Amino acid sequence: MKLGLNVVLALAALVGLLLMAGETLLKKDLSREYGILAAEVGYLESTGEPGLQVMALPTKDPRHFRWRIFVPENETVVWKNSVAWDRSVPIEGPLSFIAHVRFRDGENGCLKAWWDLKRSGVTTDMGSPQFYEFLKGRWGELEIEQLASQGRVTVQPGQWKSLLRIRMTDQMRDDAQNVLSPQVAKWYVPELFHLQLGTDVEPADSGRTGGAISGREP
Amino acid sequence: MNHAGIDFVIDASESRTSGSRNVPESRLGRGPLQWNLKTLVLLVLSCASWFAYYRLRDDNERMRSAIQVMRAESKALVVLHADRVAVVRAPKTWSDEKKWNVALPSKEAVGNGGIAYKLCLATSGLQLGRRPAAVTEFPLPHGRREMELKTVETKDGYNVRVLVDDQPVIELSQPHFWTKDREAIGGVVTGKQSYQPARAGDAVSLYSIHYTEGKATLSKPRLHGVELWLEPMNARDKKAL
Repeated sequence: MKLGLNVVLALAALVGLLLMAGETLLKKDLSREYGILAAEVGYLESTGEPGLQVMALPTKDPRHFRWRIFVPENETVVWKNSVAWDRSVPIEGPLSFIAHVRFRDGENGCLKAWWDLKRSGVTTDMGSPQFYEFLKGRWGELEIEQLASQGRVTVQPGQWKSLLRIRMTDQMRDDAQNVLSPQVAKWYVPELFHLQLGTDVEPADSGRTGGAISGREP
Repeated sequence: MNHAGIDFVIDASESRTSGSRNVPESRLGRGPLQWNLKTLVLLVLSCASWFAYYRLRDDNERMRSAIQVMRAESKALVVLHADRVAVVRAPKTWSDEKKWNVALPSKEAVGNGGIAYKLCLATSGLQLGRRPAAVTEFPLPHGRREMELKTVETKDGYNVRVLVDDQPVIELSQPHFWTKDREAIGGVVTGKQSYQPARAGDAVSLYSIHYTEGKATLSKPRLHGVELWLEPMNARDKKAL
């Protein structure tokens, strides 16, 4: 009986060890692929905690910004853009998606901006050709705040956070006031672009004059 | 004896250590099951290996489902058949971008019976369900390539340019033929996932948009728009290279 029990236990242990070894090898392969893919498109899942989860993703272009955003169940993400006419389209969870903001040279001599926030996507000219010329070669001088660029960030319910904020330095602002038309300067100096995200509560103070819609026309 | 009625006695009689000499002989044969050190070690090993297995299996399952989600978004090229092209739409980096990542059979694969491809573009004389007659072609080099279709509206019509690895390889200017209330049918043909044709000799449509005045029908012989596709090169094409 004792021998039989030992044989059964030895067999069980052997099978368990073999299966474990197989899963260990598989985990190695999966981890490698997971690492490659997560670096490219990111992965966020429900942690059971309330709040939006945001993670910045790498891009090849310094004027292209990407985030992986996870909206938990029963929560709604809303946007607020410094471009006044861009109306926020609320997105209900559970949902995981990649949001983009990108700037590039337009064929018409203007700076072009594009943002894709899952349910709302906009392509627009920013300012005049004069503004484009002013920014040419000076992109690196801008102060850029990208949310979650240092790692995952949770945006608590009721809280608003700047997803992307691009501002001019004091020197640039002074130069811009001298070069740009008053109208363009009013719209884009010193804050060139500001996109906020939060849940369905409007921020008490958006940092701009003019109440709920605090942006500007392009 | 514990409450389960099983004696837990360390029987080291086989190894005959000094401790075992102190165990009374009568206790060794007591109870329905006898446990010795070897049995306990095997039991612990068995439990530990199975516990580790189930834990690893759960971890791998979670990772596999995450990978599935990410794979769909990463637009990775999957080459199952080395003898034919694999194509996937490139991840979006601008609103109206039409870009593809393409893996074309290597020179060796083509030498072993694989397919070489040419890029085909047509902007006039388009027909529904049939390839057009007037086609501009470009023989594609082997290996992995990035292709882009750019359409720029001009004063007189539109300019269509196809780029391979950022180098323009085909450029066509097409004047407008249609009225303002034209109807567009089509768009990007290839799906979001990596695609390979079922048969090695099949052509692969990349983009197709037809502009019609009113509703398009099969009987309408001439349509305008853009058609872009990959076609296997035949012997004559190869000779012309």
